[in-house]
Amino acid sequence: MEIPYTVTARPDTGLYNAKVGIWLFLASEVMLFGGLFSSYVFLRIGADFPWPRHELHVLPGFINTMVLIGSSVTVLSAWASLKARRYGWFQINMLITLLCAAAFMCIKGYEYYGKFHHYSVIMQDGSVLDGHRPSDHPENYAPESHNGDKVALTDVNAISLNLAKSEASFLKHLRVSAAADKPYAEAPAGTVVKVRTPDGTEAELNQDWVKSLKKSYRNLENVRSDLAIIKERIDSPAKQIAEMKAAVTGTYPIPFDAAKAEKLTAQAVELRASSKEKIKTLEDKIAELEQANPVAKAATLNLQVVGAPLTFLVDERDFAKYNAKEIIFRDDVVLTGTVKNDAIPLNADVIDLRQSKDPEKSLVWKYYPQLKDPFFKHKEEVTGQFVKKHPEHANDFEKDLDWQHEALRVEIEELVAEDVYKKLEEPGEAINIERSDKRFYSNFSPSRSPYYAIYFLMTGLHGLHVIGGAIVLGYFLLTGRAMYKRNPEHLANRVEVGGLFWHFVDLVWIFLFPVFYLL
Amino acid sequence: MDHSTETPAAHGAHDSHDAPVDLAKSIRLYLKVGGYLILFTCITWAVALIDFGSHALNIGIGLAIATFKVALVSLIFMHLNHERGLVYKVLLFTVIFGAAMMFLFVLAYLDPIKASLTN
Amino acid sequence: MEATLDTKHADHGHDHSHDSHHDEHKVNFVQKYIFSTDHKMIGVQYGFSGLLFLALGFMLMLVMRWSIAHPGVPLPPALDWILRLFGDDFVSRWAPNGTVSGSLYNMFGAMHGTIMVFFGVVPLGFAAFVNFVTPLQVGAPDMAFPKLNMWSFWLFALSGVLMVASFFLPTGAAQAGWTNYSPLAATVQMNSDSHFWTGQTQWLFAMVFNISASLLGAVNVLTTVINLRAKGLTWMRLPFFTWAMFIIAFLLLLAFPPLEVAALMQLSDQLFGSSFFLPTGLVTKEAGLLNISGGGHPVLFQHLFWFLAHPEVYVLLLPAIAIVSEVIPCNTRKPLWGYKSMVYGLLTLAFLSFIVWAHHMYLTGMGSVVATFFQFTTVLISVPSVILLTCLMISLWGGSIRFPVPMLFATAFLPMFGIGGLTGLPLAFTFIDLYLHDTYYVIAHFHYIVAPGVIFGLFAGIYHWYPKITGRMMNSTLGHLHFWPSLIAMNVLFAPMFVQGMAGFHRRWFDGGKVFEMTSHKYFYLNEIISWGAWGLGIAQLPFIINFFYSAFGGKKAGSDNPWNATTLEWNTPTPPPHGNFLTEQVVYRGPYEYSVPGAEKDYSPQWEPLSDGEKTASVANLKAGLTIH
Repeated sequence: MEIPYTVTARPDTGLYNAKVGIWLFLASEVMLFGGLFSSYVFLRIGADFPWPRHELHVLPGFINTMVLIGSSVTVLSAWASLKARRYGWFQINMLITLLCAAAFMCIKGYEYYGKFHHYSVIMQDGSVLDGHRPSDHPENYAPESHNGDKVALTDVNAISLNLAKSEASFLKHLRVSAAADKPYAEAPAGTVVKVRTPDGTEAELNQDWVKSLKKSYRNLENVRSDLAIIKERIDSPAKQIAEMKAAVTGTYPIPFDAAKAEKLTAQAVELRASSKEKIKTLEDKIAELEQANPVAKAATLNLQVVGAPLTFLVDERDFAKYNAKEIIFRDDVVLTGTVKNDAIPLNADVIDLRQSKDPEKSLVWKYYPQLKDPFFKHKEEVTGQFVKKHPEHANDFEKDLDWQHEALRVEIEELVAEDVYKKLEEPGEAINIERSDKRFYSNFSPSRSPYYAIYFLMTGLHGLHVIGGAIVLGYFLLTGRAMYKRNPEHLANRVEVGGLFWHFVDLVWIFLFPVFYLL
Repeated sequence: MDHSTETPAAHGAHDSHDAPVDLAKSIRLYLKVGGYLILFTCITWAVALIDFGSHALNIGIGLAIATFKVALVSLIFMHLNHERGLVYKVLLFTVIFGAAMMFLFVLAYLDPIKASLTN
Repeated sequence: MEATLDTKHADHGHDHSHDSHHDEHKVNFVQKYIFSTDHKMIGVQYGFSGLLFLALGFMLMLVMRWSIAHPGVPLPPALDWILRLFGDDFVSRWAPNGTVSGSLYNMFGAMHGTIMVFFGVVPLGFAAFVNFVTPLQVGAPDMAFPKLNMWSFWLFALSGVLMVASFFLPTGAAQAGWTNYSPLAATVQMNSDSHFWTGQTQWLFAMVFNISASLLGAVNVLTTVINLRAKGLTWMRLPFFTWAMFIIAFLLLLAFPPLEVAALMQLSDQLFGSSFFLPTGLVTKEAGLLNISGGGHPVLFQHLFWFLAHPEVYVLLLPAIAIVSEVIPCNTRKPLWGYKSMVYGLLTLAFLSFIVWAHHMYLTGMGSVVATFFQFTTVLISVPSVILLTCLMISLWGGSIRFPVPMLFATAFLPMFGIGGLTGLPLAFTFIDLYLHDTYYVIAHFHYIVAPGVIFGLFAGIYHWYPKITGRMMNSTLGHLHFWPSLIAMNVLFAPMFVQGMAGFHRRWFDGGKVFEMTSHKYFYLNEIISWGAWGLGIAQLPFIINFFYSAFGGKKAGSDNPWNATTLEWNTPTPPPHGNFLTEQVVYRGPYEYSVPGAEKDYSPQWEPLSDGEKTASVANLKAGLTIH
């Protein structure tokens, strides 16, 4: 069997199959990125936070644009070389294209790395501090101390579980104090946690034990709810009669149906008699199960740690809430001990008070009192210049987004002398932001704000397209010779189709670059 | 279309079984267009540094340049200038639906229900 | 060089070579039945998976209907086995003592919708039929990209496995409705220990794979129709079935990407803690103020979702119309009435379907300008739908209709779809929709379209093309036993829902509105009647299942390659069609529905037969008499 028009074009459409296919595929890609750009516009016009402008470094994006344009030219030349039957030229051009793709991804990776290691703290009053964590400082980098977004809990003596909800997965946060400089090292595999149950027996706390307890509890609960359902059914006629009585005087009165009430009462009597046996069996079953495993009798299970108290280091996303003595997980596990290490260390480089309730009393000044005067001096200067330039806004300049951007979002570097700034950026000078002062804390990853979310989504998807395209083009380069010998036109067609995809990837970037980096 | 820009390679998109292709000539064209693209990228950056008085204007100019660049890529690099009706039809509907999507998203956001209550 | 080239031809079927029929002798079992690149086998694979998913979605619904009709009562043994399919652990977690919990109802509700729409009807109605029939109808040896076709099936299979497997996660499957609106979707399972292994996240992964499979399939179908049409098969000679499939593929191609965007954004919300669809200050009962940046928009998700999901409605509906418009001319022995207006109606319908989506979102608070626009387009789109339905109805007029089982289903489709369509008209208007939205009225409306409408169309297709697929006819008695009870049960099932909906019954009450008994108790008894309809519908499918499997081996032999005496190209292949389909190159001489042509010897003139002398004479005579031939 042979599919027609794989190499030659069909006369009436003027296209071979793969070319029809790739144009249709590109049409769907247009809709994909169309959807993304539409979402971008929607998020931007609907943002209730200052949409970041000029926050990305333009240079890497600019270089990447050049790289992609260059690769577009070479992929075309590769195709033209095949058309001219110059296989050597094809190889050279294709190789350059692939190198461009690699360079693009490296630059992209460099940009991403920078963002993942840049942090932002939104205070309770809306003020924002951006900066780096001292542990990210090259001299100071040690993964074990990399715990700014984690809360440590030491001296844990009591653990409480809810057998209806909890799993033992909190144990993955267990740490041991290995040394002074490594206060929270991973607990070695096979670490055994022994606990004492309320009835005095000791057990090893692990996944399986919790699972078996949960199962017993669930079995017990099932029988209990069987019983509850029967009891409810017995009570239900009385309840219905009460509701009927109430409805007589309700907003939408329904006349009392005496016949129905009588029927219901008879029903209740009958039910009570007929379910007696069943209720007895169920009650016996409950007693038996409670006897068999008294630990799993109630949902809440309080355990005492046997031996040395435990230490945990928990990622902030993993627990629901915490206070000075407890960490409460989402699945209702409660660890009781002493909370430590809950300040966020930061070497700030940007102060952003655009969303601050009152810049004068911002929480930022609690940590950087020395920057308060320079900040407001700078604000005065900006305001002066702004009013001079836009005299019509002399009274309402505070509403102007440009003014806000200039006056309220300031890089600390601009406020102080160079040596002072350098000193501020030293790890030892990091401020420790109390967790109670912050509303939200994140690196510049998708969680930072919808702006960064859509930045990462769009550039990430674009990057995946680059990788996908490069794999296909690389495949043509590596395996092309055999096909070139057999049917050079077929290889040229394949490269043309791959090239069309590659140009589309370039085309998307042509929009992405100004949209994210410049506008 | 100007005859000088009708490259043999591009012409090959028409008919796959034609005479040998003038490689140097087509590569010259691609380099020239690539040069324009780089030039306009620089212009985009430069223009973004100038304040035209309103964000909308800045965004409009930036997007206009980007659209021009996209036109260059699709017409010359992707040989759209040599394609026949079918591809145009597909792309036309795609662009209509894409534009409708963006326009109606924005319209739906900018026309909230409170606007009709105050009227 | 030539000599070395020839040896390599065999392992490269796509080459510009002429040594065909090489590879088909070498296929082993796995290549033939599992990783097949043959469009017919892939069609059958899609068909089987589609039917399986339809059965699964149906069973989920039976459990839900029990909960609605008998809230708090343990499932009877006749239904309990459905839950037991999921294992004892699942039952003890979600249905303690065999009663349906609220969470289980939500889970089954969400999965019923998802499975029926994306894994049942589309794979069966579009993917199965388009794969089996369309290449045959255009006279092509296979799809344009056979390997891609195989990949899209297996991508779809992977997505199906993911979707079903998500039932067994500790969190259970997705529980936020088939529309998966944020912020509910983002918060309903956020207490789970792992954000990755939750039903919501796996739902999104499954959808991303499903969408990608649909996109690849759509590209393949479009390329096949555009580039592989047989000689002489011009656009206006395409069977209406292929036209409809062509348009559906376009809808999928252009409407699915925005949903892919929405799914990726929601994945990012789930896994990376972003806030695309989560507004500032979002609070949940359990976690209080959420630890997120906020600043996103829930409405954005609805826009992206419905941008797909409205065209998706037509993706569900059009295969049925396509099948019915093949079955009706074949059994009335008359040309399809108004073929051209149907094609243009179809094109208009497809175009408009892209700009009506926000009528699903009137409740989000829409200003008068936008609301007016969407009301206008929504009413407008009923015009082409009515054109299609009217043409099909008029096609029946004056024919000497024969009623084999496919024709029964096809004729039943018309009024059922009519009811579904016409009851949708009031919903186009904001002031009515604000009241009826999310009530059983809407459920009744779209189920009338997709259940007695679309599913009947698909049954018609299965009965119609079964002899081509297997070489044997399906049993007619069993077919009647399938059709009549189904028709009755469907109406018992869905008609009372209109009444309940207008009485204000909300569609997501897991206890059927028990707590609201005092306000609407007048219609409360309908819950049980509807459920009886559901049980009846389930039982009515048994003859079909028996017929489906029995006839493949024990059915009456089809007798000829063209048992229905139809006119389109798929009936010109050997039965069942071999790999490569046609024995000779196909040439098309005429339009697709030339039944009872004046002057012809038979009452059907297939597309592959040149005009006979009698026909030529008759047409000249007609022209002279000032008449035209349809």
